[in-house]
Amino acid sequence: MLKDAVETKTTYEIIKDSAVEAGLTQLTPERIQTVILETLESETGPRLKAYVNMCVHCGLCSEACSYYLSNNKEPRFAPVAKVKNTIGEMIRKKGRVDNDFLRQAVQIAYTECNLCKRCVMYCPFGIDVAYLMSIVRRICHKLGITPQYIQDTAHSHAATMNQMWVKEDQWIDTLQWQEGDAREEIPDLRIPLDKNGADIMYSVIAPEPKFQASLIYQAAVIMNTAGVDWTMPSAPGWDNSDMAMYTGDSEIMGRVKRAHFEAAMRLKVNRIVMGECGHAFRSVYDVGNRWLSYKMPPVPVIHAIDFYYELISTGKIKIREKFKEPVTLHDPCNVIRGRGLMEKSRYVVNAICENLVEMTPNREHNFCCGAGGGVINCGPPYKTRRMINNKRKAEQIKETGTKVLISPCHNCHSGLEDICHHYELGMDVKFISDILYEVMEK
Amino acid sequence: MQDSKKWDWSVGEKTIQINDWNKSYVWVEEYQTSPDGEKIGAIVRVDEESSGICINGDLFENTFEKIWNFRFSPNGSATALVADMDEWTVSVDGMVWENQFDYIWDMRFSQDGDVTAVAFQKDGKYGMAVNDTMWENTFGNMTGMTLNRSGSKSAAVVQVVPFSEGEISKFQKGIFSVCENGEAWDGAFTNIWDIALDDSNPVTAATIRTDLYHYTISVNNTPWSTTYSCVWEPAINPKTGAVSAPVKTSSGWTLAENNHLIWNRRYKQVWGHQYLPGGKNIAAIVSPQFGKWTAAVDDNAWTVLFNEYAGSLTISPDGSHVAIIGQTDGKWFYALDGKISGMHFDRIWEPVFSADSNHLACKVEKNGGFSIVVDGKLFSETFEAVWEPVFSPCGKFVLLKALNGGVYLRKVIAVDQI
Ligand code: SF4
Ligand code: SF4
Repeated sequence: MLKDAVETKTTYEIIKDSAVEAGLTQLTPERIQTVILETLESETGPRLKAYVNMCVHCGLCSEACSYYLSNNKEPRFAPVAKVKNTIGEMIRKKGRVDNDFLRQAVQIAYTECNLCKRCVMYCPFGIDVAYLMSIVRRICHKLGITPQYIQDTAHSHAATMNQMWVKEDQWIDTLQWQEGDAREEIPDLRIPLDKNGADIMYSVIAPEPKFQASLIYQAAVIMNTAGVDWTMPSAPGWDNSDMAMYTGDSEIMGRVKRAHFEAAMRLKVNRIVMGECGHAFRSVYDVGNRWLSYKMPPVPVIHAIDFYYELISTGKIKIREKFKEPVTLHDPCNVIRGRGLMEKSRYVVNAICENLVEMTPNREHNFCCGAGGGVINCGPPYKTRRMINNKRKAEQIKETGTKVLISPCHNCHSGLEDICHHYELGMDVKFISDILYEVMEK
Repeated sequence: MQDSKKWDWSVGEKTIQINDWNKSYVWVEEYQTSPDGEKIGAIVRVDEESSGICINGDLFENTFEKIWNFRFSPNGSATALVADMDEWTVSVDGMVWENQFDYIWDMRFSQDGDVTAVAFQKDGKYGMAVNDTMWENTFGNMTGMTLNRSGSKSAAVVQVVPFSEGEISKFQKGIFSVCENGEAWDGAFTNIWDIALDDSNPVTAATIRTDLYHYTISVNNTPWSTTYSCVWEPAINPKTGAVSAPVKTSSGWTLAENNHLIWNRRYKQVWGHQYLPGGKNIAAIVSPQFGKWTAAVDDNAWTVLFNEYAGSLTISPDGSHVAIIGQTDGKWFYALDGKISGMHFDRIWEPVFSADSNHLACKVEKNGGFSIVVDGKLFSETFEAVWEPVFSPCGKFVLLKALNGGVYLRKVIAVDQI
């Protein structure tokens, strides 16, 4: 039996967030209406109208949403209800909504929908609730009522072009420190900085230099062992992540993406390989690039799963001895539903592990981590509620009976660690690279 | 700057063996060449503890625990960032600066190479050091360092208000300013990016965000009165000192100068604009329709459209030609004055014009080999590596620096022989 998630809090309540409260005090009914109507008028088009008009309230999307399933099928968590209680009301009331409504809209759009797009697959009309929630987030950004923690992350992006206030010297120093440490293992290992004309620019998200520098170490070992012609940029643009995409600050999202693409263009690389991060991939491959008017990324962007697949299938990395313990595999929405890497991730995991136990459902039907759509970035105020909202995911993981959970995405990884801890699942959450590094020939 | 008139422009080839470097050292890092092509050098690992700089086979006497960012400056000095015992400094032709820092990065040169600037961090404070002189004031953080072409002005975005992560209201009120030659502007903005410095006018401009939603340009710390939902980097008219920038209006991107819209068309994107010499015309990279890219000169977009990317806008010295590079279906081209190159490449580097503006060359990669393309003709030989080509002052010859089979080649080729 799962530890009862709901034991700490059973009733639905609106969580107090200091930034949301401070923002609400600045609003007037006129301002609220103007921002909503202007956003609907100038930033949405036929797609929004079609979605809102087409929905027949059949509720087929409900069973798709892990928030709904985790909350004993409480109707308010059904995707269609989230739409109705946010953008639906904004449209119906022509922007004449009050602070209590907005408080609830913030909570729904930023913390009760992870923009996972699972429900899209179950709607007979393909209504994209994640897109609708993104519009709500955009309106909340413009109203100045974004939750504090994720807003601070967007500020960091704006000021430093990275997610975690990593200063320019700290970035380069960390790479050189990891390079030095890795030389204990591979004496001539290098992390080549600013190598013009290299085949690959490797990019990461800021939590790596800030808290998880060993992931850079592992990547360097993988690159050096595989004999890859690679580089990392010393200048801003090295961080591929983009929480501004999730706060609704499209202008900062675009600026951050432009810096990332330009870093690759300056170095004249053939492609960008990015570490195990899902939302960063979404921002580079789908959302941020398009805001800039790039239909596709101007330089091919390869997610780590795809890259490991290439290294293993071409024999550039050989496996010394497979990981023995049974493992299960999480399918991050942003690269599975978003990019179709489900078979490649299984190829890689089967190549490095003896026993992959699938979650049910899996691949594009897998349940979302409840974190990587910006939800986890809303921070501690929402954590307890996030754990309640993740009950279905916890059950799904527990059912595998494994003790090792592989998550090829940073935010999923952090969210899943919280789930494993909260529900006392006793599981070790790993990136693919943690295991690959361990089992490969060096 | 090295005077290219004094370089050896006689047609022919000089070679330097670099094969044995790999045998002499633990490893050899990326090769760099001097502007005149007479020198090739690299950071080399001398032993387990130290690295050095090897030029034309000779190792500089000084070795260091760490070296990075080795480059030849425009005046030919072998310059690098070096450290012993975690004390960093700049090494120029084997001589180190007197100042030492906890970290240095972002090395920049003036156009003539006589001025070298770096960003530094010392005791947790940030600033710039120019020719071994540190800014008088230092700051809690610093980004967006820049140096003007003459090297007379150095500037960066600096944090002027104490700030801790998570203080979102303080951030939005403004914690950043522009610091120029060590003196910060009064006041602060929410964000500042892309400082533009001028050589001939007392003008410094930057993109600013005055809160989360309003973007504009600040000129000498005075913001334009009009704000936009987004603004990219400013440029300064070399003749008049006027400041222009791409701005996003409700109907799309266009160009504004001195607070007024100066282009009529609206684009899906405009950036990377530059004044042509004389300051009367402006060229920019534009996206006239979603997903399509080209250049526009004075609001006239070229008809040639690239599907994936256009960039590296380059203007000839006399202003009569504009060139860009672009990508369609994974193939790279260049376009000159609106006409696309007949040939396509696997990769292409920045266009290079001759001093008389009559010739255009680019470093290219094709079928796995590197070469140069000059006036639309691909040089017949390919190499394992090449550097970007340089024209002789008369424009009749081109200098090709290349690597093949462990040999560095310095070739001077007559342009009409390609
Ligand atoms: S996008 Fe995901 S989290 Fe959001 S409503 Fe749909 S299924 Fe639920
Ligand atoms: S499945 Fe589609 S049509 Fe049915 S309620 Fe959900 S969004 Fe509306």
